Amino acid sequence: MNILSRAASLRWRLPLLILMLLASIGAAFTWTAYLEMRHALRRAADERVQGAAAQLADILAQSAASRAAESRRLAADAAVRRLVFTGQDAEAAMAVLRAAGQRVPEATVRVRVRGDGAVLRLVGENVVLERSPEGLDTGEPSPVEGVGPLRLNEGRVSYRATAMIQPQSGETGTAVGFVSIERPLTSSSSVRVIERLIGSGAVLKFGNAEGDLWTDLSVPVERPPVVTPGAATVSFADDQGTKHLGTQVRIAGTPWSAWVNFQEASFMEPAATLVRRMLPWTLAFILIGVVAIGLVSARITTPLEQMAKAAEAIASGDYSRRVPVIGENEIGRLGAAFNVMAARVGESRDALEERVKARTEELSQSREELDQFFSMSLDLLCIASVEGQFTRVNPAWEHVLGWTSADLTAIPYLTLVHPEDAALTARESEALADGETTSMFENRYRCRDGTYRWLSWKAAANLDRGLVYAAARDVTEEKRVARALHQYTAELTAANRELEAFSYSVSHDLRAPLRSIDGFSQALLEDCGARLGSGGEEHLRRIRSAAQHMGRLIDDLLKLARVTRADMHFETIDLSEMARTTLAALSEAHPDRAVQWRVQPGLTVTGDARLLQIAVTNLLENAWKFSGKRAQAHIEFGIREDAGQAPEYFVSDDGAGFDTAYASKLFGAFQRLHHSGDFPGTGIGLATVQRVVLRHGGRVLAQGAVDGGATFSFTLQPEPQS
Amino acid sequence: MKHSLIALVEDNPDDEILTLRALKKHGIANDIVVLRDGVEALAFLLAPDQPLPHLVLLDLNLPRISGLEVLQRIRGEARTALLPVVILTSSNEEQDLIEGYRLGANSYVQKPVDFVQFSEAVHQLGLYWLVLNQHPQR
Repeated sequence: MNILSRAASLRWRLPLLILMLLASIGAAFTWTAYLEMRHALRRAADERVQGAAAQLADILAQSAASRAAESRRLAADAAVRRLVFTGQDAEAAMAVLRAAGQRVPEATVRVRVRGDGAVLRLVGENVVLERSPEGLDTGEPSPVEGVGPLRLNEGRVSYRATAMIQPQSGETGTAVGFVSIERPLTSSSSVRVIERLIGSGAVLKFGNAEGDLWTDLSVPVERPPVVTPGAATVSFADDQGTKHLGTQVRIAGTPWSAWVNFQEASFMEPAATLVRRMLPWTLAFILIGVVAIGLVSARITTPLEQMAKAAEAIASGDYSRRVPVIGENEIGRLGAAFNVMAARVGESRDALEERVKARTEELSQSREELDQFFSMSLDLLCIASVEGQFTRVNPAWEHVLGWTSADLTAIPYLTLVHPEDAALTARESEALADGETTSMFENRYRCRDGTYRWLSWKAAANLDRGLVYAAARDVTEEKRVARALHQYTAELTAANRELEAFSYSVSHDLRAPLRSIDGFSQALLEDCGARLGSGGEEHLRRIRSAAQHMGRLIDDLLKLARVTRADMHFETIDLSEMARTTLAALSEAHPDRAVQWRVQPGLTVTGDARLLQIAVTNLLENAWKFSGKRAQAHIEFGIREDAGQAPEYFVSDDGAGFDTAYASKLFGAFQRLHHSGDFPGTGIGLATVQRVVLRHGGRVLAQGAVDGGATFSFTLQPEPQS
Repeated sequence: MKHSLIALVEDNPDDEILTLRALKKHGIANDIVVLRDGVEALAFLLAPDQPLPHLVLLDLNLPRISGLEVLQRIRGEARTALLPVVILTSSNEEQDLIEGYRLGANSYVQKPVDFVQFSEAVHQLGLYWLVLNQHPQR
């Protein structure tokens, strides 16, 4: 597992990151300290080296200076000078020189004088006194006052401190001679001294600043590898690669330079020691830190892990998982919130499941219903492709046409269509495919037994699916009925027309003979009445009466026929006004009658004015007639309204009434329940009233009692359906 | 009563006799010319050499040319356009009534079966049309 990858657990990443942080801090710290230390050490080393070099230079300078002073002293020494100028007292001079030589071990004091005479060369222990007539130059380099450079002399490094013997005071001129002390550098004691002063581990050298001869105070050595400008220290590596720090310093009063170098390691060691010492502490610190962090982070990552696991469990369906809530910090709050959420999720999931269950049930129920609907429907339901193929048909197809579902889905439906209807059907199918709907399209379909049946179609297409959804109704019967109806209507219309013609001819042709009968009877009566006698007169009167009666019959029949035939024009009619007017006319026409009549005002109806007038007139005339025997008759026209029923209009009188046993005959044409001697009439009036009322959709009723008056009522609309 | 000419257009001989009897009974015994069908009626009424009657009693139910057609024809002629025409017929059909007036009849009377009433009606007619009523041709 790659700990650094994104998928790595927080548990490890956190401490790891902390670890890395601490480690980098520790490392940085350590490194900085190390570098600082090195820097400081280097500075200290520089100082030390420089100090050591300076010290060395001082020591050497002192040493050289003392030699030089010695040589000057000797050059100024009286004994020496006496010897040099007078040539006398050589012993004393030698003693001095010898003493001087002894003071400096291994030194050679050389006195050389210029002068004539014999060469005086006294060589004692370390003393050489020479007198050179040639001069001071004897092939050796000219002496120079002061400290001379190092020179290799018989395998040993030495130098000379020279002092010129100046002429006597008062004399001018060059030096008469010189005194030089040659000091070989072989003593190791001085090395030890210096070493003690400077410290061990140092490499000490000095040599000619301008030359190549260098020594480490005992043997010749190589010149230092680097020449440093000024007194700066320089770091360099030797042949083995070891690092050194060195510096070169001019030795004052001499033509030499001193060189000191240390091994870097020697003075850098504290830094390394520091690191070595620090490292374990740093590591310990890091470790402790990591462990601590690990523990603390565990307090964070563990709950998070728990939450993660719980969330996964919930995601896979276990809604009862909860996390323990520890503490009140953000983690604790998160945990609490998580639990609440988990609970809610569980609840809503349960609720959802309930709903889904309910919905699925609803769905399957309605599915069932629809399936039932589809299969139970008596109409022919089908689904077809826009290309003209049935894809699904309901059982009604088999019941009506005799084809099974398999038959119908196997062939294009056009093949079952009657050839005369095929073209129109094809066109209708195209229109459907274009998105129009079909309604009331009729065509004939062939049944299995070869007959055809008429189907009336309603259809619509779903263009996205390329399907047509259609319902057809078997209208074969309807069409037959319609045809029959058409026929009957035609016959009826013909009959009506005949009736009209009949009425027309009746108007003219039947009345004329009656007129003749009546007229000539009257003529006979008038012209020959006397001759006929009362019997004959009576006959003629009866003839006339019969003819007139027939005339009335004809009139009433014609009226009845008209009522049957007439077109109805519905309008709002004031029945009260109609009744009032009719009764007023009756009163006026029969002033001898005492009739008290009452009409309920405000009765308005919707109906045909003329027909209603005929009905009302008939009823009121009847009432008038049949109450004729009463001294004071009472006639009433009004309305009776019962809730839930059509309003009933009535005409009531207190006249002769009728026997309810014969009530069923009342409305028949020509039916009379009274003798014409008592009450004349044709017996058509009520039939006419019934005809009018029937044409308005209502019905007539009659109530009465013998000699107890009668009430005729009618409605002008059908009873409301209950 | 002034001396007037009445034209009776009637095809039924019985009705003819009865009408004449009624006219005579009430003293409207002016000149009466009887025309027995529509053709005769038109021939008489439209003939320029024939005198114009003061009143035409017109039956509707005539053979050959019907009363209404006669009416229409005579109303079409300037000479006879204003002639008083009383339709005297058995029919009380709404149709006849409307058509009669529409074609320009001055009056429409239904012949009752009862002769007494008939006689009275004729009397009234004569009285009115020949005596009371004003007419431009007078």
